[in-house]
Amino acid sequence: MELGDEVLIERAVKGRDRHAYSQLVLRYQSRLRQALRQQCGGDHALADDIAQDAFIKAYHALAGFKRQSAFFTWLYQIARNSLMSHYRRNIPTPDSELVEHSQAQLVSEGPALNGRDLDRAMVQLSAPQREALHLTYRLGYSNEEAAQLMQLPLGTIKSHVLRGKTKLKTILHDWQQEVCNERG
Amino acid sequence: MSADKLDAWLEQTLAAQEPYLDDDGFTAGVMASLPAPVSRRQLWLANLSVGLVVALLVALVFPWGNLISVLTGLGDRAWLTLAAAVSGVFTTAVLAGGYWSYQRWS
Repeated sequence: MELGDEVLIERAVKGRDRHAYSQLVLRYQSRLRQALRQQCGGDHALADDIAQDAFIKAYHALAGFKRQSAFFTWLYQIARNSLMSHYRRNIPTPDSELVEHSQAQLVSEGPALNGRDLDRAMVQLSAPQREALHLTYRLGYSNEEAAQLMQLPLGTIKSHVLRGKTKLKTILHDWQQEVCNERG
Repeated sequence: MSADKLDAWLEQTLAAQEPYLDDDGFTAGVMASLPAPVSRRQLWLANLSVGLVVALLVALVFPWGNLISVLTGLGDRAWLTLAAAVSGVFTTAVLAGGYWSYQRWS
């Protein structure tokens, strides 16, 4: 039987049960790493480093976890703060090569769209648009919850989601048009 | 793909479940980076050490030379106040040291 987060947290804090914490890491590693990969613009190594750092910080702060939100929500906030700190220290340069590579790959693969095309198109969105779309669609958070997690007003989140989707549609539509034109 | 179809495809794909990322040693890496667990005996020794250091510091700054004259000159109430203050400081220091070591090494 799979134990709930509450029980595992209780065991990790009060019983100093490292195995319980390892179960939490195992349970959420994929979700957190995927979320961070979206925000790191494809830099998987950076996303994994930030995720590892977040799990370590969460372990040290676990006794102070108030349980006002789900464990993953709390963990995500820790990871997000780490990522923001990282970007403040190392201001990222726009990865134009990655974008061009993505476009070239899509053009070569034909007009039928798939999930990977969406991932490539996502790279062209702004970081807040990507994050807002990921939180609301992939992770299933409401706009209000996403606003809380991103520490932005609700209206701004809605705007990021709407503009992100509009931009995605434009990008994907343009790519398809290019392919159709090339095939004449 | 028409605009409507693209719209529907986008909604569906955005909401699609992501593939599960294989752990591939990630959890082991996190667990290896956590501080090594400390036994209760080690924790007790660490607390005792902190307590002894604090006691030594208190003993060093305490005015032992004037103690007798100060104590005989004190009224009952003042003597009790002084005793309470000294033990309060000492207890607080020991508790703070214990809490710190508990947080640091547990």
